[in-house]
Amino acid sequence: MSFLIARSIDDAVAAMAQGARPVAGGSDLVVGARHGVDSLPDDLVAIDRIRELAQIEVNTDGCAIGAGVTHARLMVDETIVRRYPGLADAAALVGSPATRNVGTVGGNIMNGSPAMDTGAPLLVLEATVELRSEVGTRTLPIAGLWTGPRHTAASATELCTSIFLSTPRDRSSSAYVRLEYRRAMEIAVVGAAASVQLNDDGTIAATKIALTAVAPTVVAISVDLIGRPADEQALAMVAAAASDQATPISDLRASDHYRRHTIGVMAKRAFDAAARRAQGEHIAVPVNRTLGIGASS
Amino acid sequence: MATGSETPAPYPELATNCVGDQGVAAWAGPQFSCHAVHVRVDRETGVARVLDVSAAHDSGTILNPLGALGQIEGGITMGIGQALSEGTRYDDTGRQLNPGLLEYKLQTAADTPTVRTCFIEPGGEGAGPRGAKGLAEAPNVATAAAISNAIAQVIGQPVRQLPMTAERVWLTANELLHSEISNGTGGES
Repeated sequence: MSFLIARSIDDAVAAMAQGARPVAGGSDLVVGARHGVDSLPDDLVAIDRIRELAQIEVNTDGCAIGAGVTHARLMVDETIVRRYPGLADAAALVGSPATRNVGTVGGNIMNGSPAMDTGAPLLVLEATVELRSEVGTRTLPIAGLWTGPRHTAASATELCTSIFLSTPRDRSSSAYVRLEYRRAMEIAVVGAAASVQLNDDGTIAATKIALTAVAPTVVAISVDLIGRPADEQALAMVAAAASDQATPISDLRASDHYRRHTIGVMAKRAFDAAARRAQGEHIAVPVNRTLGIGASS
Repeated sequence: MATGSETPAPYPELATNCVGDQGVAAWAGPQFSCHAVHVRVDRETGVARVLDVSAAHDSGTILNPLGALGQIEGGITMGIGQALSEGTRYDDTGRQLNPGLLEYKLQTAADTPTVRTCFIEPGGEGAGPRGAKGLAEAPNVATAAAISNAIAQVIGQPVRQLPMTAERVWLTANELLHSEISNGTGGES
């Protein structure tokens, strides 16, 4: 049993090369251990004091979010809220204020839960993930990160160091909504993220939709809306595509039947909010609270 | 052990006429209460949210106002959980499937609605010392029923099982929708 507090990424990946598991907020690691999902690793390396991991860097190409940035910071960061509101929508719904203060975006995506909130918005924003080990650094599209429930393409010696998002195009935006039964300490029953880019005439130039908690991983779905207006018919197409392409299971929280229905509802609401934001409408983060979705007032 | 039909021995002196050692009859002063709730239902998903609760309680003279208020607010929050989210689940062998607070869904502070409380004082005949009566569990007796009535008003019929989870509300609303279509009356109300 060992516990090392890393001061730098080099420290952290060196410890991981020796078999240590990284811990930032511990909100998945410790909860998982207490519920018998996994026992606590013998060797831990704490990465929450590595300054480099806690930065949000913006340049002309886009925005690099350190893996150690907390949900509490993501949900209010000016760049994230303005340019990537779908990610802020998701961060604002994670757990409770206490969870958001310790939980990190890197932890959320590397835990690999199909019910993670930040996964779907990062997928529609076409994020790339930087993984670092003692051997070197590689980047991969986030769509290639998740290989199954709680499994990622990263090896045990690779640390997720940052997540990169390209500068959004004009007249584009994003949104994330989820079905929730209560307003804190909740896990997405189902969830959906959408990014929408509009042409000057208001028709759809590009759109991406991703679903939470209806498949072994967060998944993108395809629906051909290019050239159409973002109207009721488009919303119906999004809902139908999401319900058709979802492969939900039944568990304590919902039946597969109910999930298949509600994922359509969440997908169309996410698409609608993203399209309205792309048109310039201000819909405050998170969409769930602002538009009264699920257990919102 | 004695058997037969003898006359039982008299009660001790203090308990004659069912009174306690204060000389006060138990149950002689029943309490009454009424809850009114304001509920919003997301028709497409069945998620119900309680926005406001008004509670009127006749518990006689309130001896500890802060404690009594807390009892009512806590009881109502418990009643909302009972109505919407709290329920133990078991597998075929009787093992509880949701033994922790991660899956057994209590209401959180973020879910708690505005609660307005009105005490009806004094409580009339038969009350205890200084006109006090009981409070205890009364604050969570009416809540779930009031929420059920409110949901029924929105979706057209009551949900017949607690907790009234989003899925159950959605299923109940849809059965009504289907029966209306089959009866030719059509459409969602």
